[in-house]
Amino acid sequence: MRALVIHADPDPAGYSTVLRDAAVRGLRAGGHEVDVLALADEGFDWRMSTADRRAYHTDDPIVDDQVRRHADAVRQAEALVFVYPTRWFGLPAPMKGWLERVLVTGVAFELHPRTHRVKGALGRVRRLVAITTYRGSRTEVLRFADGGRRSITRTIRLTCGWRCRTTWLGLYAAPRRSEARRAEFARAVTRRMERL
Amino acid sequence: MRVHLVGAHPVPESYNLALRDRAVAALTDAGHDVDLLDLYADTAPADHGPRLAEAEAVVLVYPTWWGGPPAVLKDWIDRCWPEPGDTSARGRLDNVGRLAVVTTHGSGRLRNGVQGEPGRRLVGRGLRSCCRAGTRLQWIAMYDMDRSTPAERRRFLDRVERALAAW
Repeated sequence: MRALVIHADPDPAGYSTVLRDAAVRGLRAGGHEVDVLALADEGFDWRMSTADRRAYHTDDPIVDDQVRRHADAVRQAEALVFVYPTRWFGLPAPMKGWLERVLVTGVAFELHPRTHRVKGALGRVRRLVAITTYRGSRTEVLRFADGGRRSITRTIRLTCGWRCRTTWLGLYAAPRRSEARRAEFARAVTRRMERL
Repeated sequence: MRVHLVGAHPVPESYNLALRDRAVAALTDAGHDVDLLDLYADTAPADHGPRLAEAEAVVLVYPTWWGGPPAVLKDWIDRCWPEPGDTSARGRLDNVGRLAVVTTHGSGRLRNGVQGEPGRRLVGRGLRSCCRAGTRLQWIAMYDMDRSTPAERRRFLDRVERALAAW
């Protein structure tokens, strides 16, 4: 499968980098072709700009070369793998901004020209994967509603084909976990990606 | 009441900014002291925390994108609100006793329902839990924006005005 790994972390020294590398290792070991978009390393600007938004409802909604390159990578992907630390029970701002700028009309969905109904355009994607750390325990995450999980396994899932499967790998209460437990989680990520 | 009104839309001539301006006018006319923060115009993020700490009420005006607030608004939340479970955060925001959201959804109620409305849950369960006990969230939302008529958009502007003029 052709997998696209999208990595966003507001903290450059964050543990999610370890998880990203663990995922890439596993995917490659499993014989998958892997592209990586490391948003911080690329200096990706995650703020939807005035020019972006003005173009959003036109036939040519992408005005930036970097965004166009990311959109092309999404169009070729059969698996989308999101790696990020959960903030406020949802996607951190850089990951949310990537969705807003890259997953536009003609990439993730089409709007019917007359009725403006949304139709998903990610039919090629067979797997959606999220690899994330939570600050809260599993109980806290459930109490505050797992917004990030809803964003990916429902909102993005709705634009994929009906046979697309989702895989959720979360480490709860991550700041309170030992080094050994974190390393074990990274190994589990590698193993799971190997047999994706 | 001191109301902190936070808006996030990059296009000056957008409907969302018209909603924001109507909200500011309604609150000001009702005698409230409105502190407006436009996250696309403001360049002093160091002031964001102190301004939130002075608010008695918070009103968010934003377009719902991919189920929730735009990244610039999520960034403000991630930076300024103490996340439950984050040991480095600074406790609660007991100064805030009232919350409102004015938002537009491009798609309809059904699709948003299936998506689980992560944005509404973020504010209704998450942010509300940081505020003073008993804080209510007033949710003022327009669905199916992409297929709306000018008359519907005018009616929603009036609805925002009425809802906030009653504060």
